[in-house]
Amino acid sequence: MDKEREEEKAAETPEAGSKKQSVETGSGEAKTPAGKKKQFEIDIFRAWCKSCGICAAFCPRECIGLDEEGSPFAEDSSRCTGCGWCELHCPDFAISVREKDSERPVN
Amino acid sequence: MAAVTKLVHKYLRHDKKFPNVWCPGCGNGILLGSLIRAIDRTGLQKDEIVIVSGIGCSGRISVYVDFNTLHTTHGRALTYATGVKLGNPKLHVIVIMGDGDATAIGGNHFIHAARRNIDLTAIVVNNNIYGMTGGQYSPTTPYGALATTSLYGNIEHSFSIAELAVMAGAGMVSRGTVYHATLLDDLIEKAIMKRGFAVVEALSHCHTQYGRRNRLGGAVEMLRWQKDAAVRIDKAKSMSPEELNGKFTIGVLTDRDLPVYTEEYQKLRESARAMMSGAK
Repeated sequence: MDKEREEEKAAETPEAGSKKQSVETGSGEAKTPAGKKKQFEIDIFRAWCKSCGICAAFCPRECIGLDEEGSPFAEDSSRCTGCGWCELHCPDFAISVREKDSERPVN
Repeated sequence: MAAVTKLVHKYLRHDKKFPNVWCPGCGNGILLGSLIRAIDRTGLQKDEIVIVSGIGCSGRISVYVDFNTLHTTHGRALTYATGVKLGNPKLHVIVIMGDGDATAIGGNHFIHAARRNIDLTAIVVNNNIYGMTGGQYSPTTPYGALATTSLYGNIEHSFSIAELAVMAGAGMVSRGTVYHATLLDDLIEKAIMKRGFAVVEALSHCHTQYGRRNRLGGAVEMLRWQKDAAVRIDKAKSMSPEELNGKFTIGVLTDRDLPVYTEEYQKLRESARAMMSGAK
């Protein structure tokens, strides 16, 4: 009986594993296997932004650019390392950095 | 959800008062962020916290946060806070003042609150000028700096708020800048959890009134100056006075255990009650 149970368990585990894998791949690129770079997305909340330019001036990877009117925009979010400097220093709480394909903020 | 959005939804009155009134790039906004992150880390409930503020740009902070709040008269934030704390000693009272509010109009209250070592957290936002009222020089405006009331250069010397608080007898005194926001989070968190009068001098910038008049550039340039001029207190110990010229130290300046006014008052009440019941 015990042996049979063990066999059953052994049969179940790979299935469960494969199910988990399928869930992971289904949820997107954020949960890629270790070794691959995490991707981040920079959201700028225009209604609160006053275009002070602090985020663009201090971003260590220069991901954020300023347009003709001086408003910031995510120039190249693939360079973003998710350090959160812009989030910490935005005086107007108008910028947020999140991992790609993670839950979107509720507005 | 991004961490910042969660905090904004939890602690700020985001659906009523935003965007805030401060100038673009103002340090008060960065300090407000530090404050809500520090409070979130302490794990205190919103009803356990009272935010008291005075008059000035920094006084607007009490309007934006979703705690028990008091927006008081000029310079008297500490006196209102003392009353709140003595009325209900279980509350964590955080006082936010500007440099003029704390050291000029409320200078007397500031040194005496420090001397009594009342269990309050005082955050002094130091931007070297009276920003809201039109750029008059304040007690922390440096010697020689230009302001609307010192058109030929300030002939007075400035206060060092943190050192003043140390000498006045505060239990914990620290200094941070809005550029070093993560350090400021730590300092505010420690100050809230400290038993006794805890002062945090948060160096900020006023590029609209102070920076423009003194040709120091905008918010970005003034933040760069904070980065260059600030020295961690551990590092400053191994530096010579010449190297420290024109710089300032950041970190915890003093942390000492002194008798706390609110606890001493409670002891006094209990002993008086025991005497009264003994007399009967």
